[in-house]
Amino acid sequence: MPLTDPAEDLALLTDMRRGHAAAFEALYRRHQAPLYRFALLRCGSPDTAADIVQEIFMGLLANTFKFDPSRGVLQGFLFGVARNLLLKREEAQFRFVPRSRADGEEDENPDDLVVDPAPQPAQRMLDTEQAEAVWRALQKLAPHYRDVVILYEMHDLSYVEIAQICHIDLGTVRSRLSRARAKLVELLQPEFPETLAAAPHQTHPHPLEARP
Amino acid sequence: MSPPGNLPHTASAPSAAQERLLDDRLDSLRAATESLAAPAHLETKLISAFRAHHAARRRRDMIAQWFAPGFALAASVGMSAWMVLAPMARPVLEPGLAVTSAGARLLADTPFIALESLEQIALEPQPRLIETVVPRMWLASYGVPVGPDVAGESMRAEMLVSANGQPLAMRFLP
Repeated sequence: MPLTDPAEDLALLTDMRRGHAAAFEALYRRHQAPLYRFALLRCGSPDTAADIVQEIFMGLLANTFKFDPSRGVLQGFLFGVARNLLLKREEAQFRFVPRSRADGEEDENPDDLVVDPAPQPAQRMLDTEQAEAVWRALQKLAPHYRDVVILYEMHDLSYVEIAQICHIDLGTVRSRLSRARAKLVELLQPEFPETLAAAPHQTHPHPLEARP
Repeated sequence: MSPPGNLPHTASAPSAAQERLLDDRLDSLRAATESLAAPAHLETKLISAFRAHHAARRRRDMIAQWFAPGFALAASVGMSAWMVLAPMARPVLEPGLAVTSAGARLLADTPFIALESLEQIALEPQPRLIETVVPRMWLASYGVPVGPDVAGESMRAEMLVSANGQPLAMRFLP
């Protein structure tokens, strides 16, 4: 489900292209926080996340990204731009960037699930220890798994929207999410052994509302 | 929220209870990051960049709007002049044609732009070639792009004039 009304986004974008600063300001205020959070959770660096947001909106104001409304909503498009910008940066930073996975190739090797996280900023970013632990575990996931978890769990996007953003098919979204969650459980066990590890195995899954 | 319809890949797939606990953890991360946003100074910076970008674009559009009709007209005139002069230049230089020395010089150098008909130029009994200084904007009126920053400047030109001083043709000197 989009976080913002696509029709309003489009109207603002049209006004922005006519040179209305108020429309650009409104678009920025609607989208900057989700994009910043996505970039922050994805790369772990507040400075890089701010740079990504800046690059996105500089491109938007100069009309260099060529958004086509017939191919999706603005929010998904902007998440896609953010992801591409992050991938470009990671190509130089990480020793392992599985770009081929982004093309929808099925995931085979379980070792591909985790990576060495990038060096983290010294300051404590989150208020609670629990959130901090999940964040650390998330950083250990390979980027293509992290994308799916962040977009689904943190931004309420649907499988279809995630598939469009990550340029993968629905089945790959589903399998990546499933495997990433299983890995997160595994990674969090040392952090909360008394809870996650000791949780009784249940054979009946709890009812869940499916997103389209 | 745990995904619907997920298929476990391995024997160590999490149990429903573990899924719920993971959901709790992810909710705590979500709650902890919900208030995070890009630094406040970024908004000011981007809005300034937006205003500067569109101000520059408006200036470009305005200049284009002012000069477009002139450029189009000048291009048409320039093209017409070239079409008249270029094919005629060589035959006129053949012996036996009655042209003055100044006229021969004109017809030998194609960069000249005819201001009157070629016939009138050829029949002019006493044409004179004079060197003069003209505003650079004249270039624009003959189809040559002129930047707005140099439009007010002048440049040298050679002009063929009739005995009574009427301009017949001209060319700009580098």
